[in-house]
Amino acid sequence: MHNRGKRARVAAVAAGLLVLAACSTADYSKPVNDFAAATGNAEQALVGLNTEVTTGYKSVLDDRILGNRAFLRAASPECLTDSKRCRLTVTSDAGNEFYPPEFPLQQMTLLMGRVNAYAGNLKALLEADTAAKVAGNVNAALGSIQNLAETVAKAGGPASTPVPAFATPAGAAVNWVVGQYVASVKVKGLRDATKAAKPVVRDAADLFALTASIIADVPRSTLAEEVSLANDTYQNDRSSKAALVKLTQAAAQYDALLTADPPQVFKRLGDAHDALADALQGGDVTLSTAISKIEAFAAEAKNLAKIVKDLRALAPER
Amino acid sequence: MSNGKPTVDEVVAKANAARESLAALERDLQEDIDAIDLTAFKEKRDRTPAELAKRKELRASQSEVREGFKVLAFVTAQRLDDTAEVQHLIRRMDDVNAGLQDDLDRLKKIEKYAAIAAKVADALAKVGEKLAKVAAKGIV
Repeated sequence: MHNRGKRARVAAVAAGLLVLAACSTADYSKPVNDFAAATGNAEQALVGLNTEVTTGYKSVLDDRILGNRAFLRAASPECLTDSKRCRLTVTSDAGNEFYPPEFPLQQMTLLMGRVNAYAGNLKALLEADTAAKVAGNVNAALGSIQNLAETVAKAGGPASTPVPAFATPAGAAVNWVVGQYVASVKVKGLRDATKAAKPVVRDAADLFALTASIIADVPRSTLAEEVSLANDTYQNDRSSKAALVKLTQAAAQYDALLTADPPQVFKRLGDAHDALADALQGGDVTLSTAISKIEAFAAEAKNLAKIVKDLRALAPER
Repeated sequence: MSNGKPTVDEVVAKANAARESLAALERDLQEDIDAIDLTAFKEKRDRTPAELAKRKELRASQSEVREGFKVLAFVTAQRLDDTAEVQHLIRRMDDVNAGLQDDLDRLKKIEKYAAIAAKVADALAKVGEKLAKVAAKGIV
């Protein structure tokens, strides 16, 4: 009676483990890895946009300083023998500010770093080779016991029954249970983390998208001015083939930026994470839907990182 | 206002109002520039010195408006970065990461316990082996 109760409890625990590990951790490896890689690219894109807005603003300050519309001097009381800092300030109609300007998105860069770390942690959780390490230790322990059993058997003399190789099936059973438990810890960890992170990542993604749409005005105005300059040259000589080619190229460059839509990548970050979290919760969203949203996000993130890089090459710091 | 700092919505509302004014100005300037070029083209003539001077003036204003976009973007980014919402999101993300770190630590503990169990089993087996050998020699 007592034994039957114990067996029932063991069966219940094993069933619980199976349910928890029902969706194999291997199923989530690719989407979680892809999500982590794409989040890394999105972080790069945000850093790029941060640089872009700073460079754009610095060029405005440079023009004001060099055009004698702003006054540059050492910040008071800095840059003296007993000073702790030496920074420059620009004084204009807008007031005083440090020169060169500091990156404006310092806190948001930290936030994006945290989101990236989160994606990396999801990946690390799935990639932890705990089961393999545990299996190594279990097999080593059973190997020692096997040696002991064989020594004991030899002590009994040659007529003794040969020792069965119990280490392998016993080890396999222990390793299987440990493997199921480790998988359940991983899947539960993923579920809990994505559930808790869902509203935070969504809010962060919306904030990044909003910020990107505002910052995008910097490359937009730079490239709009490039088109105007090319148009000025063309209107001065409408028979010049070179001027026509330059205007066409400038317009195409600007069009590429406008159609890339920088905020889109951050919207897709939120969509991809929502889908991953929902798929893990076992709701209406399937894993394949989550995978396709993650792929769309990955493609967009890669594209934007490239565009930001190209923009930097196009408009070098003055 | 939150903790004396503007909220994201407040920052964006102000920025959007300023941006709309700049955009309207830029569009008006472009229309005037295009009108000068198109009029001369339709009349099959070069632009007059007065038109060119006017166009130059309009273009200079347009460049200034575009600088205005850059300044507005920079200042708005700075203000958004300084909102309480960003700080709040950082704290919430830290909580999520701490939870994940707990799971990773739990997996490491499983490894640690398995290693300890293996060592104990190994030590016990070695002691047992020695005793068995002694017994085999008939000392005990």
